[in-house]
Amino acid sequence: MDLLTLVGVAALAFLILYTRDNIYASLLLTGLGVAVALGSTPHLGAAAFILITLVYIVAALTLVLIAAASMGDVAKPVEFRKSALAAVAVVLAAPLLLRPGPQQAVQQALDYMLIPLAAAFIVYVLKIAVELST
Amino acid sequence: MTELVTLIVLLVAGLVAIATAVSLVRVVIGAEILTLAALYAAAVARDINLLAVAAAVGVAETLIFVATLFKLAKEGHV
Repeated sequence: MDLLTLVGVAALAFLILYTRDNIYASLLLTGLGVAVALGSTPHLGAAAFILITLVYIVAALTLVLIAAASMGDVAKPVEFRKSALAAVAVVLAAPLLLRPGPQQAVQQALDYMLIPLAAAFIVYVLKIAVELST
Repeated sequence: MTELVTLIVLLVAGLVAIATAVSLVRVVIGAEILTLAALYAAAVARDINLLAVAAAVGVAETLIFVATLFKLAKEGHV
């Protein structure tokens, strides 16, 4: 199951990088989200699948809207951003430091303090988003 | 070990999507892949609280990105 997730994630990520169309790439992002959600199901159960799938379907569909609204951009040549490439080097060096530890026990008890905190955070972000876009 | 490799693949894919972006939508796609890596890390750590916080932050980040893209598209930068 883990190997299947790895293959699926790698293939979908390659497809996203290979596709030059923004709309198709946003739709493939939904597929990537569902693949990761499937891969996390054996660890945390159905709750993880539902959460990740919901977040990613919403995110990717909004991106599809934005990409469709801003169609007709010029085909500029690909330029590599130096800072992102340096970050890739740092990430590729990370397995030298990160050793996989022993398997944790499943933490299934939800801390209910998180719900009002997350709700307040989302409301605050909505306020900022409204002020940004108007 | 396979989980770690999957996490590294997700992180590298997001960063490369940002590095090779030709439009701002691709940058946002790369950032979403990085958030997906955070969600996967929380799920692999088997902690539902971490997963809830990561999902809330993912929603918030999408809101901010879409608002910014909307503003920039209105001014003709996308």
